[in-house]
Amino acid sequence: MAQVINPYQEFHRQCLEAAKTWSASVMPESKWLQDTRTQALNRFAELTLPTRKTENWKYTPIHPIVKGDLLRLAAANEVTSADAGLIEGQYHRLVFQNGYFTNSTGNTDDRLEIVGFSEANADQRQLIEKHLNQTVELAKHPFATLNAGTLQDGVLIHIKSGQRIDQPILIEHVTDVAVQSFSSFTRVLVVLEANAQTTVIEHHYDRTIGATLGMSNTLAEFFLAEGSHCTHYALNTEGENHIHTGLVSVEQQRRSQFEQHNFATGGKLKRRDLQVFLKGPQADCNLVGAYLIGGKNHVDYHTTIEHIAPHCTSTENFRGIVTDFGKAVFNGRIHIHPDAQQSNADMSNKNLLLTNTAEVNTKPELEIYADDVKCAHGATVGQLDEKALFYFQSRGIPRAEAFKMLSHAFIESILAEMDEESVHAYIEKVSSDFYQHCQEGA
Amino acid sequence: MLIINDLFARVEEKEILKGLTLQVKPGEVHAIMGPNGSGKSTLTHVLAGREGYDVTTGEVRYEGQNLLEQEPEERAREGIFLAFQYPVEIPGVSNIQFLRTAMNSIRKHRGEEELDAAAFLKLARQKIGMVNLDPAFLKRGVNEGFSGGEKKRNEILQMLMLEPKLALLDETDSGLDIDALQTVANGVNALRSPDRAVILVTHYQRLLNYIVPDYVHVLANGRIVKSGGRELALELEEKGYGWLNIDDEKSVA
Repeated sequence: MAQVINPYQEFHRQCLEAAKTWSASVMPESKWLQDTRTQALNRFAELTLPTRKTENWKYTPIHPIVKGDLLRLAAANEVTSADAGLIEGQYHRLVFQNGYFTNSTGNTDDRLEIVGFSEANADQRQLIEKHLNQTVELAKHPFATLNAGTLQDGVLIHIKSGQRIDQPILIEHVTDVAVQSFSSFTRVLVVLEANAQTTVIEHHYDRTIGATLGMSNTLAEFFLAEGSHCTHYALNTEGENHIHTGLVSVEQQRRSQFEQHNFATGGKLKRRDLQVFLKGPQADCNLVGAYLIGGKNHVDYHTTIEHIAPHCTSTENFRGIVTDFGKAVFNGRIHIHPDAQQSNADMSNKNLLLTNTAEVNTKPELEIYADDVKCAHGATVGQLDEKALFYFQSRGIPRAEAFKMLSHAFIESILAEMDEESVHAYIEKVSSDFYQHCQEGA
Repeated sequence: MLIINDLFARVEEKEILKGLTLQVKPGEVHAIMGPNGSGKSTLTHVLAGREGYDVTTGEVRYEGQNLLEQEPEERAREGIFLAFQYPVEIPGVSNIQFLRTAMNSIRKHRGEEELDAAAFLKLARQKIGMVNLDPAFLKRGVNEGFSGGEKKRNEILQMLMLEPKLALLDETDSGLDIDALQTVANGVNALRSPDRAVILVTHYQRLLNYIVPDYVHVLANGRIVKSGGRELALELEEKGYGWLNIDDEKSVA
């Protein structure tokens, strides 16, 4: 009897094979980079790809990835031209195209360093080696592990001690699939020294016009030293034929602050993992997010806040609008370690379901091992208020228009926090396009 | 302007209006009084087109048209305005955005040019003074965190902006202090004109000291049981509803 081959196992084997072959083919480079890859690939070889039975992936099956013919990496010459991005503003602009880092605007500000891993000088290389993969918890995140196993280049952003960088750093992750499907991998490392301040905007989008599937896999790590402050935007606006996985991993020292603004719309499958390690007392993180999911789009936000040190605060506030056959998943895990007394954690996820064919799965996960903590959480899934709709209509506003205005009102408080002007304008525009397709019923 | 003929309506399978007949002509102010649960609010909601208020028989003609066939927003654009007893709070939509959208959709319907942001703001600032609200209220979410009195003032502000032909006030006076009551009354009186009409639903005679009605009707058990002039309201205040052989307790909730 022929052996039955599990397609997931087969895909896992093929991924590993492809990554190893690719890794061996890369031009001779630093032993450290090769070792990093090998180490990650060894971890990848040990893990099992998630199935429906894997708790962390229960509502996000990976079969579109398995079936996607995505084992190829884009060739360097598949890189498209560096057109202007979708967000206009005064930024330090960096671009990844199909996974290749192209540092487009030269940085002249000597208070910060922005450099591709392959161009790093000795000091910078040391900084990279010291931090890279330190927070990732490789085996937990299969796709981030694969990302680490294919690492060739990435970008280091380093803000020196006490420096406040007012001009935000915009990193564009652009995918453009021309003919044949591929996966692209991007890597970001942000290191803020003590009391440094900056804003990093990551925008993931695609320029794919045809129906060929593409996948992007990104991994970003943030290290916030004592008293530093980082605002991070993570916008995912890829279209219908795109699959995205991403991990953002943050380590925070004493009195550091991390503000994260997430926004997602569109996409065949998007899976975002956000993890924050509150390692120093009085560190504070605030994660907000809005997702607008229609068509057959699927988005999944998995957040983990590790309260390790005492006296830290974390707040999370995610809101989503889901319509048509869209699916949204939110899983918020708060883990309060035994020493993390006086922790204050607050988490909220609210969803608006516009059609009965849409689906939301939301789950808080609290693990509390300290006794003197404040921990609040709430999750709701609801519909538009009929009384509110009538109120609008009774003032002459057509029901369809009322529907759009009330939908937007639902996420307004989240968007209001995203106050970086050009980003805000961009998100408002993308949202307004989304509401045009929102209709009652179905 | 408005002809209601033998109207029966139910809410959630329960018959509330049972053969209500009423005629309103341009320029008139009608007060509708009656015990709790007599169907006063139901009447205003049926006229405004609230879903779930089903008319079983009878007809309502407004300006010669069959009103009951029209969507709520069409009625509003044709000049019907309902001031809510419990205005809805809408966080995330500013008062100004709400009002401007409403106003422009009505103007568009009338074939008038839409007001731009500046022209609208100017008008809104002028009208908000008439209801003694701070202009800062324009920027806040619709009714969000407003006190009861502020909500009612905001209803009157909307009415003054939208300039309806037929205003329906659903217990707008309930829970108001004397100042707010006067403000509401001033707003309504400012709107009074020979081509506009007002239907005031109220529990108390008090409001009628400030807005003097042409007619007073007593609604009980789903129909109008007595009509009269202003003096009827005073009589009701003095004697209650008992002398009209209305059993308050038996009225539908």
